[in-house]
Amino acid sequence: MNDNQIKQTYLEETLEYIRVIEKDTLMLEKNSENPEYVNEIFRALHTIKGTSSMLGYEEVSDLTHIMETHFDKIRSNQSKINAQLISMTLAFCDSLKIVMTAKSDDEKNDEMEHIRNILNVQVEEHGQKITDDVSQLNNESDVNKVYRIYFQPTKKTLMRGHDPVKILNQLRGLGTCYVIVESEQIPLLGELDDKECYMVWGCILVTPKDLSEIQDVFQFVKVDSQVDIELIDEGNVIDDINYKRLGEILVNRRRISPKDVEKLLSNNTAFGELAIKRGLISKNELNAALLEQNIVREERKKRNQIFENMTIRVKNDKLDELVNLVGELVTLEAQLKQFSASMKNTQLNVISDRLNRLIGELRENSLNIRMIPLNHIFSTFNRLIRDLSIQEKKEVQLKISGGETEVDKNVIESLKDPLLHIIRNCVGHGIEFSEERIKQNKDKVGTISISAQYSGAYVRISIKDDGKGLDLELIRNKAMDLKMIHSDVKLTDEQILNFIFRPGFSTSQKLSKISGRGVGMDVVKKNIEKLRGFITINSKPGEGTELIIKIPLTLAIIDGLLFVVADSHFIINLSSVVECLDCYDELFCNPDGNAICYRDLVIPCINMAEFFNIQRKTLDMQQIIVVRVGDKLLALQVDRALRKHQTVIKSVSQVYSHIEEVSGATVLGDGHIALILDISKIAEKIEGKIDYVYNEV
Amino acid sequence: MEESKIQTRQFLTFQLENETYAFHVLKIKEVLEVPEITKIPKSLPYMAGVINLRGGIIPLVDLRIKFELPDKEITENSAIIIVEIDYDNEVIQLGALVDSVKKVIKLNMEELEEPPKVGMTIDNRFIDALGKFNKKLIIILDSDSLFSHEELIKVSNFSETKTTKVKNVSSKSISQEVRK
Repeated sequence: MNDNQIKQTYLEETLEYIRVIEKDTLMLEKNSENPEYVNEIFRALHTIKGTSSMLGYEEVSDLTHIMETHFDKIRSNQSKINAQLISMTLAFCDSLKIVMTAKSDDEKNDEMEHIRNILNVQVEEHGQKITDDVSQLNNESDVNKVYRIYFQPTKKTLMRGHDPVKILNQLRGLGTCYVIVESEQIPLLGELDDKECYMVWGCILVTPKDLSEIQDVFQFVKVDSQVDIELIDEGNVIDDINYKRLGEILVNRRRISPKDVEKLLSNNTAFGELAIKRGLISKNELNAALLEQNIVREERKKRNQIFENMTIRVKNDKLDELVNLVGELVTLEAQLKQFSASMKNTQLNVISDRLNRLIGELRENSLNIRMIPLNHIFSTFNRLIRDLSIQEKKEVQLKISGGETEVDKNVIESLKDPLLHIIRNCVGHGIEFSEERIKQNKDKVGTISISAQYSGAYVRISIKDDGKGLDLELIRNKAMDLKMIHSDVKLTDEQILNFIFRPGFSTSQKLSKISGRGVGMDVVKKNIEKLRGFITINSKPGEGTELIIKIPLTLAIIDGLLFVVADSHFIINLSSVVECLDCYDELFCNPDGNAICYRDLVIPCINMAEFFNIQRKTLDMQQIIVVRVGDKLLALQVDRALRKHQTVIKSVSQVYSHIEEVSGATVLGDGHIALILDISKIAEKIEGKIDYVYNEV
Repeated sequence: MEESKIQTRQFLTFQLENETYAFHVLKIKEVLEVPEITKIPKSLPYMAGVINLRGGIIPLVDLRIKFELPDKEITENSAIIIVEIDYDNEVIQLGALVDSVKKVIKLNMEELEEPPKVGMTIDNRFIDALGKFNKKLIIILDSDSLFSHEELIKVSNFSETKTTKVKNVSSKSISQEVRK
């Protein structure tokens, strides 16, 4: 690794940690009780501090340290989480991000200064100097260690007025403490001397503190009690999570001699039970040993999990290259398949079949590598909502579900901006002010829910607010003002709502102030369509608005349906195909042949040859492909539907980018090029030109 | 490199109807026989379609139609010259369909002439310079302006006007207003 690579890794890592801190801080804001988040923030800060200092960014390291100190105090219950700290942490994150991505030293230094100011303000409020804490903290690490403590007070201990229970409580304060009391030595009541201590405490303590701090607890009793403290797990990450065998532990605890262990082990029965039977150890002693074994194992497992969850960072280009290569392979394999089919050679066929399966798996796998959960972008929305609600002086909460749904990385990247835009609109225009909400008997706090789920080869994302909804009348009037419709035209609610996706429709300030969303919704729609997705809108006045986005899982390779019109090959996404039918005259329900009866519906039918102006010589049997576009059905009249085709999507070059009906192309096994059609665009072109008559046969 | 002072450059000449044209060799990737051409529906007439070049998809311009020359069948002499062009600040490959490819020639830069303002068979925006080789006029084309964004997508609403013969338009008034 050269310097630049190290720096790049550091940068990526740090930005990732900042994201974690941001996310957890926002969680803390909601639920300040949960120590998990404090710990995670602390760890992230600690790591940033460490790596920054390692790479010589001392200033970043120092500033992070101050931040870390704040969280350490919370961790050790010395201070409480308050709104100031949350704001400070978020401001710190913002600035640190700028420092990380700063292009010039000046920019960096300015931002550093800014961080210093943010942090200093807080120092004064606390009324103490942070620097005092520095030395205290430097030696501390946040890795849990496991100690075994053996505590046997004597008569004298009690006589001196020391309370063993208090000491044990002190131990509990240091970390997680498991106590087992050995009470076998307590005599019968008659023989009991009330000044004597008959109990022995065995503790397993899980704590990040050093040995000396634990010894401090016993400082006053160690003179006349027996106190044994032993570090049994140092908190290193070890591959083998299994701790010592039971026998070893017991020997270690000086409960049993090595010789006895050997003797017992020669028998095949469970070691522990046998030892009790033989009277070598008591049940209590066995339990203590088992507990020790379990705790150490658990601690090691936890640490390993942290390590296991760490991922390998791979450059995006490398992944893209891999997927490209797999794409080439899929194309080549199609050629082989076609060739082997024509050769009628059994052996060749077998090889081709195997290759087919293997490449199918390879394709799935390599596409899977590029999949990342939607939470990646969803988690940033918490922050957005928080900032927006302060800015707009509205109370808004965000509900996220289905964030674990995985989508291609490239899709996610292009999805972020549209989603941001929609959420901004929800807060800005959808959700009402609190007073207004109360008047309408709604919950004071507005809710925006984002949910995602798989739906066939698509992911369906819904963004819903419980705000005031869209004002149909206003949109209609606006559309008339812009001369998009005549005043006497009747439109369905859906058609009216869809005006907000029109370019130029939204730019008017007047509309966005009064009735709502619409700022650049055309751009949102365009971006979603670039991903071969759809966007639809539902809105009820007073109840809120829901935007539904459907996007394909991946952009690189799809399952397509191959069909021909004259000599031209076309492919449409298989997931949108409902049914293929033979075409006969009775199917058509009007003489022009632009609508068919399908089940109980009349659906528009597009003659592809006419639509694309393709010259055809003979008109033999034709077929009809019924496809679903959004929530509508559409029939395509084609010469012949051929077969399912694994389609590697390629661009048809920029010079054809203005032809919206064609979204890409692919090379077939025989070297022919098939054009990939965007049905939603075709449907759009045809919409309004054909009567849509539903349910009225 | 010592010869660089003499300033000669190499050009690939090709034939269209009766004229000899040339591209600068540095712009040319390769020359192909004409493979199967896949037409793209709703595109401009001189956008001949796309071809499959070793798995890549390359758009094709029919220079005959572009220069408004009479139609002619593709013969065995027909060829495709793959040129690299600067398209919207991106380097892309594009095929030019020509009647036949001649050869690579060297021309002295000082002997090249500015194209005349009038009297050329093709629009002189596309002409880089005029040269002479074996007493024959060579029209050197400027590939970047010939295949510029404006030239290739020029009449982008062409597709709207000429296609989609859909009958029975009952709600015509909406559609026309709405679809604008």
